[in-house]
Amino acid sequence: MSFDLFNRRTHRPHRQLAEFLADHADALLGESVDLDRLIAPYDRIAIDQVEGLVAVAERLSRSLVDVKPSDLFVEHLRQQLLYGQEPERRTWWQRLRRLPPRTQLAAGIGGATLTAGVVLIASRPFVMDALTSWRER
Amino acid sequence: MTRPNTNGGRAYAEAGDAQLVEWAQADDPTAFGELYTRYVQKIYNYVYYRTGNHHDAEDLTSRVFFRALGHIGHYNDRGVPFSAWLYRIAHNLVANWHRDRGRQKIVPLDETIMSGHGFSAPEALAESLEEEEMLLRSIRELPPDRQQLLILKFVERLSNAEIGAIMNRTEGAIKSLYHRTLLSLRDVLENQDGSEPRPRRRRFGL
Repeated sequence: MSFDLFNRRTHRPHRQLAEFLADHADALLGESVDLDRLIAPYDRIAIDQVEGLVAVAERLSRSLVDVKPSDLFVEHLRQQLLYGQEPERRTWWQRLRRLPPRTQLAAGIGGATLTAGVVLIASRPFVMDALTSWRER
Repeated sequence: MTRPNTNGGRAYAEAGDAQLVEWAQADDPTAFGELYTRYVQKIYNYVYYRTGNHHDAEDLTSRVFFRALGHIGHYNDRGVPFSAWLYRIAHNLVANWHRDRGRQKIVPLDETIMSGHGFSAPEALAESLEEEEMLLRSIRELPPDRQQLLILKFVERLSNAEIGAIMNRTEGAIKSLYHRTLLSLRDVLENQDGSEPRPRRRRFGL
């Protein structure tokens, strides 16, 4: 331990800072962070010099949280791995079905509008004919 | 109470990764299943933060494990633990995914991520959401190796030595990379906040 600290003190300042930040990150992932105690072994670093970096590390620790896959996905993949075949690449339709509901709704409205537009353009001659004959009457 | 996962006298749950790999290489699907159980969430987390959405995270996680299953016979522990081997497969597949799509999606702040916060006041929640969105956007703009480091450090909670094994770097190099990553993130965040970037100090690289 003392040999380790001695080495830290003889390191160049930026190396000391890297060591300190690594210790700080480990402390963030642990129970609690005592900045004064953490910085004590590093004689060439002052707290006000590391405040900005420490704040970024704390934000990272708060924001990068564990994300859990759905139980259905985990079990389905297990079954495929142990007893089944590798799934084929999803088709565009399968991918569409897995999109969030709002995206699916937007895609549906967009598709309906496009279809209506095409139908309107295609039926235009018939509509115009009907209007003309109605006016002539 | 969990059911002991044994088969033919093999205590899968108690076995180390190296032992499970050995059994899996000898066509024991239960051994691979145990490895899958141990790492599926970690790989999913990694892929999720690199791709930014659950659908691609599921797709790529599946491909990671199918590739691992297909190549486990070739895996040889030469100082690279099984977990590091899996992460390297994930890293390569994510890199291919980005290359094929030519896009850098923003990590969404969905309910899953925000569920870890206990804000009660709507203002505090909105402010926090905005700050987190800014931070995650900044992370997504970092080079891939720096993104990888932050995910392995803060999401997977790995030690510098473990991260070094995955990224094929020394522990000292990982610490140095972390230092540089924090410096660049701080500068980016300060610019996004609208404040003047902090003048670079010569001492300590600050």
